[in-house]
Amino acid sequence: MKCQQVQDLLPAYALSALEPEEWEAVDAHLQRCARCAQEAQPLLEGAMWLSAGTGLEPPPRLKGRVLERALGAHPARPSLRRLTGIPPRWVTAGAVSVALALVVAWGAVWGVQRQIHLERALAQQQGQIQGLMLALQAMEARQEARLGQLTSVLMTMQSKEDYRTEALSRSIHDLRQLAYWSAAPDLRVVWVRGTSSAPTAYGMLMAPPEWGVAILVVIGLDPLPPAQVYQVWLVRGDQRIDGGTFTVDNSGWAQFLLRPQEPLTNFEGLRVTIEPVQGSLSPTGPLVLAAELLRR
Amino acid sequence: MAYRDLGDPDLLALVAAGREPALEALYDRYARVVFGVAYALLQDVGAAEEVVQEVFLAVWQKAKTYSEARGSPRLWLMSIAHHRAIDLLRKRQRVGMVQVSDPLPLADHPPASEDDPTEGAIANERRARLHQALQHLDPSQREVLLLTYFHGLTQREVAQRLGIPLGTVKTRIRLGLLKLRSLLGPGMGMEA
Repeated sequence: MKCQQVQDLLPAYALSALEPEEWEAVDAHLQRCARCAQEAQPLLEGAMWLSAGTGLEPPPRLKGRVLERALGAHPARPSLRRLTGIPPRWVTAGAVSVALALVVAWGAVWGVQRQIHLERALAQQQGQIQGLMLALQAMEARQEARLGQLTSVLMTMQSKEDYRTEALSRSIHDLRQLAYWSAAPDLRVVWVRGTSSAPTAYGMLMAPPEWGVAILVVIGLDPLPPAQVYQVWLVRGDQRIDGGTFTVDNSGWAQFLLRPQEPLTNFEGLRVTIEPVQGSLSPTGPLVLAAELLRR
Repeated sequence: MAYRDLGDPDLLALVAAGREPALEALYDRYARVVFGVAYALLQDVGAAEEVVQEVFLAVWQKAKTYSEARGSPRLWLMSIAHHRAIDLLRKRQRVGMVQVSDPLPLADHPPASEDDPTEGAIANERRARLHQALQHLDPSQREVLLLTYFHGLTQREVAQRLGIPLGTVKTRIRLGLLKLRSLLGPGMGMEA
């Protein structure tokens, strides 16, 4: 799903008012597109206000059920005790007992005050160490999560970069061809006019003398939604022969290589209409460009 | 420092790393809000409990997919909660357990909890602010927000029910949500 489509669906996404498949597709897009996620944020914040103020308490028994179900659903993971190297509880208990016995013996010699002081200091240090370990674990977990997200973003960027490189190389090839043709001394040029449906559009059709192929360059056409394309028609009497489809970039510019089955000199004119993305068998949409071809 | 002292992003990162106490701390912090969202839609304690279970199961399994670009963890969690509740609401509507009625959800809410007077007061204040803000919305925007959020209709179903184009529904939803947010602020995410 493209960003434009996602942004159109964001308000309904925020309210869960999409079909389930649409919601999942938008949700998946938001996981990897920071720009759309940012667009979604004010809408989600508005939606969250609608949940304001019930103030009900979930029953206390629910917590146990929730944790049991969630933890039971996960594959087994190393426990915190193993991760942190803390020994099992019975070993800890044994160690504490021995330590306490030693401290008591020590206290008998050095006095009860000294014992209390040491116990407090020990407990304080243990608390500090545990707190530090927890903070470190949180930091490590966040870094791991960020690393995963960055890897995913980098992979997406790489694939977009590959696509751009390929598109750029295609454009360079087309421009070279155009420059070569433009320099030809006997190049034929026919002006193409915008109709009342596209009054700011114009273009030209350039072809070598034999008129076997031609380049159509147009400027000023509106970019179309993804479901539509511009379709070229060659006119012969009442016939309209399909010449192929093209789209324009965001500035309304396009160049299109026309390869008719017969030489262009066999046709009287050229028309361009708006059609569904798969193209039509005959013109069905509004006429946007027209040109008269001089038959030889 | 204990798990309950950690911030939401840290807790969520620890949940993603499989730390069970982090999930428990997150539950303690958000179970009430999730339960409230679910009850507001479903008007049924048992169904709201089911949603709470599904939400925390989803958090446990999907915490790795959360990124800060998607807003605060609270916002992320609340949108999961609402989505699960809507799913359940639609299922129950299909089997005739609940009827889509005229949108008047706020009046139907039970009074806030009496167990915790502070929380109850905050909830009542939020509800009053929301009610007031809704009165400032264009009635046509208010209608589509309530039909989608509280009655679980999709935007297409709203268009059919009201006999208006889908594009109009989309525009009303967008404008209504942005107006609500500008009237009330992003504050829901900061008041856990």
